[in-house]
Amino acid sequence: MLKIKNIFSELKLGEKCRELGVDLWSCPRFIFVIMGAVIITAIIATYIVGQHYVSPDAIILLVSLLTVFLLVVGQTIVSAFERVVVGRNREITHVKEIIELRDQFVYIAIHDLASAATAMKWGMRTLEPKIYSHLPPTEKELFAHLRLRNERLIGLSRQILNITKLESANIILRNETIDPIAFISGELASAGRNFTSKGVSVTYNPPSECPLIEIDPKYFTDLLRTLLNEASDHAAKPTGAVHIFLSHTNDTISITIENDGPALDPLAQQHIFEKLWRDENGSRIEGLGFGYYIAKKITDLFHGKISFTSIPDHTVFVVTLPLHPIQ
Amino acid sequence: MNENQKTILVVENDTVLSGMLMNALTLAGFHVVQAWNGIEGLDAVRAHKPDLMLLDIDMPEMNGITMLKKLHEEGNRTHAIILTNMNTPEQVANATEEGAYEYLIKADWELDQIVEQIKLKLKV
Repeated sequence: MLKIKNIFSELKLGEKCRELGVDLWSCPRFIFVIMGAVIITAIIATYIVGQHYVSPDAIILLVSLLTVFLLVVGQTIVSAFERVVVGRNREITHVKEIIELRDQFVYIAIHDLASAATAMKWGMRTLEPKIYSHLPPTEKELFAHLRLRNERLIGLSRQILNITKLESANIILRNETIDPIAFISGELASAGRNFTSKGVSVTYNPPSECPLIEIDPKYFTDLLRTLLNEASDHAAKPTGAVHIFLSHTNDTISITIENDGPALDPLAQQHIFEKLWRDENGSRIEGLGFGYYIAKKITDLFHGKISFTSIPDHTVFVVTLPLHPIQ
Repeated sequence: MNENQKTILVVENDTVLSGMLMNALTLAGFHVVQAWNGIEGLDAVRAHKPDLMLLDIDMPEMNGITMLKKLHEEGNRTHAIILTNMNTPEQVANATEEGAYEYLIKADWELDQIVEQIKLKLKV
């Protein structure tokens, strides 16, 4: 008796049925056990009856009844399976619809947010040379703050868009063959003003030669921008430095991005690639902790590796990417 | 407009952004034509034969990708730069398939950088 009880507890019937979210009589595992018990009982009963009533007619009747009974039980099991599968499919479709709606909402909201921020950015840039020199120092400072806040708004909208794209299941990489030395130079040229506004100087040390890499340039750009942005945000204040190195092996390239800011909190280092992580200096360092999460997601998308070390005045992120896409 | 002046068509439904683009491009020495959606853009291409188009994607009546597709069906291969804040994977893919010259996210660029890009493309 104890053994049977043990077998039932091993099967974890209740737990499994709760996992599936169905009641006991719709739970395939439970119905299988019941069916097993019924079959054993039916066979024993048939044997006993067969021993007492040797008439072939009675045996045929019994076997026929048993077969019909087993068919009914089988049908119940199949129906239970179907109910579970149909329920799950409905649930999956519903979740997919919700995710698609959410993504569409994010794309539209970010589009409108970014359009307003672009108008601010272009407007301030247009007005700056005409009015900036006439402004008193306090208003010049205000102007600079407005520009910085607006850039942060643009940065945040870009990050939210990136996360939405990276978390959607339908990412299609469109790889092109590119020269990593020139590509990184181009990105640094684009990011130049951003570094200057944060008081950060940049050095770039590529090797004299580097093999070409097959990679999706859009996502590669996102990866570089994210890491460069994080490095400039975490560099020493008020003037800091970011150093970029590029190296390669026969199969990979490695991009190293170094900043001279304070070390990342040891406890927080364990959570650095998690979404919404923010270190204890979060109040000082702007951002919502999306950056390293995005960098990790893109690196994973490329089947690459990202690692870091952080000691005072020296935080280094290294991204290693395969030269050819891994299927 | 003088004979050597290059013509840029700006197809953008946001009046503020379109005005600032027009201002910056005019100051840079370009002849600028404005259109507010894809349908007006198609008419403007046929009428003005621009050297380059700056196309937004999300516009009423006809979006930038559809406009580009219709131009290609007519055999028109005017250089097109997509200039948008709509950066979904599908739209980047569609623009590339329709042969867009470049896909720029507005918020990532300053006006003068966009003008420089155009000068570079047109070798001005």
